[in-house]
Amino acid sequence: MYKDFADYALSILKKEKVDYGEVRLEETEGEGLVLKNGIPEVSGFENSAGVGIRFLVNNSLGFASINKFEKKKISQIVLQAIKRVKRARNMNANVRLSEESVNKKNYKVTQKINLKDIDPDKKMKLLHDIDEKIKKAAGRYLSLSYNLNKKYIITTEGTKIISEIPRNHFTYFLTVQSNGKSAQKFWQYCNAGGFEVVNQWKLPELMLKEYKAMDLNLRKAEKSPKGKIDLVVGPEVTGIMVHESVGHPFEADRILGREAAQAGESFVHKGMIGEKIGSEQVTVADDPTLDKSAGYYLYDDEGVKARRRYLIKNGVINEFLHNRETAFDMNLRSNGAARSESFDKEAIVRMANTFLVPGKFSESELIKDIKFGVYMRDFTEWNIDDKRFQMKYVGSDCYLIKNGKISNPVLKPIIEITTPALWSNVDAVGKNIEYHTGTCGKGEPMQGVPAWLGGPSMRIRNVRLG
Amino acid sequence: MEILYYFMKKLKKRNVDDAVLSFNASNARQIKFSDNKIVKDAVELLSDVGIFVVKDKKIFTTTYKDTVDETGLASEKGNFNEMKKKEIDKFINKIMKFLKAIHPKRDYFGINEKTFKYNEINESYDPQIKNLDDYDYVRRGINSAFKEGAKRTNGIFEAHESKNTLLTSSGVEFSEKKSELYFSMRCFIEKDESGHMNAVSRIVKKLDPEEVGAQAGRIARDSKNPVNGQRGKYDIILSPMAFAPLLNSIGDSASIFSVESGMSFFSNKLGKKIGNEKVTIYDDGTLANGLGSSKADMEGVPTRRTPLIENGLYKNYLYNTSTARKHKVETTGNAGLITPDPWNIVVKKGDMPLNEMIKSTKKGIYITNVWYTTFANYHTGDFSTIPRDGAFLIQNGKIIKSLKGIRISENVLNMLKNVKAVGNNPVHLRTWEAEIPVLTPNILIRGCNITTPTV
Repeated sequence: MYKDFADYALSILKKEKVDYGEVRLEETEGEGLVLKNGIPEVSGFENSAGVGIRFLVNNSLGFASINKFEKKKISQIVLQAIKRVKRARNMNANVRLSEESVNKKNYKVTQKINLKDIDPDKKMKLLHDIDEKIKKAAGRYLSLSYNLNKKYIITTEGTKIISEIPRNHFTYFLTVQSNGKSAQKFWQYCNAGGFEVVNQWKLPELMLKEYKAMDLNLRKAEKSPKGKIDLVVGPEVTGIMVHESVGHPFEADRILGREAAQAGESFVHKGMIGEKIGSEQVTVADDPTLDKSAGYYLYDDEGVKARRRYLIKNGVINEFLHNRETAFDMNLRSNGAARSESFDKEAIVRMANTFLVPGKFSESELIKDIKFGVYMRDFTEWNIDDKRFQMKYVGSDCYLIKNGKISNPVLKPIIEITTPALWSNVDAVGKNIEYHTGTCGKGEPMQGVPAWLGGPSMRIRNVRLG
Repeated sequence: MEILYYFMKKLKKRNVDDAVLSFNASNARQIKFSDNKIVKDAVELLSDVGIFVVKDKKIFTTTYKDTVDETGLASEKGNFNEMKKKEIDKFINKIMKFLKAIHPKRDYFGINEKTFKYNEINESYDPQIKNLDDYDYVRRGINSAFKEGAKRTNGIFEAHESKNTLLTSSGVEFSEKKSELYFSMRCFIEKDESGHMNAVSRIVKKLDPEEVGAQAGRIARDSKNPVNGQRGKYDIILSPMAFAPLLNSIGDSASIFSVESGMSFFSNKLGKKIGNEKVTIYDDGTLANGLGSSKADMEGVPTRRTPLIENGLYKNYLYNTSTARKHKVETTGNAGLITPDPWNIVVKKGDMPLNEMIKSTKKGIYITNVWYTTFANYHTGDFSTIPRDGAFLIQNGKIIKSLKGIRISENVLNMLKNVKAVGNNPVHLRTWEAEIPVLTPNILIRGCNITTPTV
């Protein structure tokens, strides 16, 4: 690693007597392959490295990034950044950081099967095996990649965190046509770890199951019922609902308005801690420390120790996601939610792995006392407004529930609902938790970070399908 | 560009069939402000070499970093020394080993083999960008929004300068300098009263922060006391900010890569009438002051203006050389290192000013911005998006109130068919959701489906 250069950058910050300084060196290597409709597309590897330098001078925040490992250049850009921040003093916000303990830690995610030991040829064969299973699909875009991200975070307070996290990614985009209609699904998988996690995904079988579900829906689905109905959603739908309507509005920087221009604000305000927002059954957590997770880390990008955050406990708003800046503003300690996409982006408040905490019911128990309803296993189109208040999900693999049993497939049921209405109408939560993956987008410049979106199946009473 | 020559020499020695090397160096400044105060001031200095290599139809791409500075010279002292040469030799060995292990793309048909003389793009580089007083820009924008009644302003100011050099195994070599300015401001007054406006320019004199602040402030002021909208069919007027994300989907769908991948609503539409005759949309890589404009594509083919939709007829997909040969057409000069991509999406201006559009609408909504555009099906074009900031209900030719809580749930092809009028005042934009730069006026579309939460 280029640690000397990061140490050098920190020495300049100290010499310039900044109030706080933090240097984040990141080195990333990776590899990616794409198979489109059975034909290999471009493949490649990645080797990148750079340093992000963040500091406070007179309570003003500056940031510099560079991927040129030359001391003269590093010195120039840091001094340029400090000069700019000092010059704009009267226009600057009063940025302060919460007091946090000094941490020193070196950790890494172990790889049982080292990613570098797997030949690209073997990975391409895996993609061909998947493609063979779903050959009847009209469009098949499959991508398999990994990246190994090494970080070295040092601060003027004495924190020093060294980490190494490998992540595997599988992404697909399927188009299935039948009966003159078409359906599409885009989905991702991501786990931290070695190649063993890719083996555990059992991708050929998984993709065949997805294809069959899409094909069945196109051939057999009836029109979806409309009007008030009981709905059971599967873990994929629970995961996106939790992420969009609990995780995002509980990000403290949104609540404080820092992201208002682009990613938006929040319908939640800081006085709402302790207010009821859902039924007793609803407990939502975000936890970066989940083993092998997409959003895994033990220390965040400010060097703060990560921990599980309970955002909603039994229907009551419990805690927001914080970095040091928002924690200071709310007179709290950071709960370790500062993440950045790469060395050249500032760390902002992000989710890691957000999930609905499992209940005690099996999925069939959730379904069995519904006389007439809909089961929504997954979804295609979705969105939510920028305050995270009103959302829409269009179902994909969905079925009628008749007299407590799964019945015929139905076509694209649509739910448009507000956040409090959704979580207040959940009356039972399953125990079948699954974690799915999303690339969560926020910030300007846009930063996409891997996150798990998880939960079990849940039952939502009296939802109106549109 | 000593490093590019060295890379190319070494790659040719290894008998690669095609190679494209692209050197990119950029420096950027960014100011982020929130609640009228600067919350972050950032500077960056980045450079890399993009590498595209083909051997026996096996296609490889990567980037090589930490070797070159903004002059294109390598190493600590500015000399391209032996140490760096050895490092590159090692890197090329790694590429060749990787190439052995990957599989051929059977439908690859090579890169451009000709050399060209390139026309300069008008208004593409302005050295004055170095000397701007960034804070003054932000201050002027904020003050201008205050004059319109804004209480809170949030946004971003960016100044970006870059140098790109391209070298291909066919002998193409060219360089260009680019400058970019971007200003985005969202203003708030009371709860749910907000307005948003962006501006982009390659040259200093064509970006006016005061105009951006004033427009965002005016929309916020006009959006006073919004009420929840009702479901139903409405004629909608999309402002340039609101139309930009859809135009990005149109641009993406025009790439032959999207068509082949099932991600295009223009599949099987070539030569067919897909829109109202008032609709003419181009991709234009030569657009003066266009943020995406470039002299040549990533194979050195000069960029051009390519009609996508002309008077409602779907005319062209966007190609690079390989995909063009596969489909037995000419390249459109849209090669990226990996896929053909649009440069700037341009809507041919019409003749109807905004006030005429409003006057001619019986039951409609004027939408000034949208957020979170997602597709249920790219092949069919089914999508939804959420209006945010000012959205105004029109009844019998007049704006009567401000709306919130609505969603456009529609189909892109239906919307193109239902275009009733195109505005006369196009603006250059890039937005958070629309990364491909656009030049578009307002657009009036009949009978769009508006939905709202049902619970």
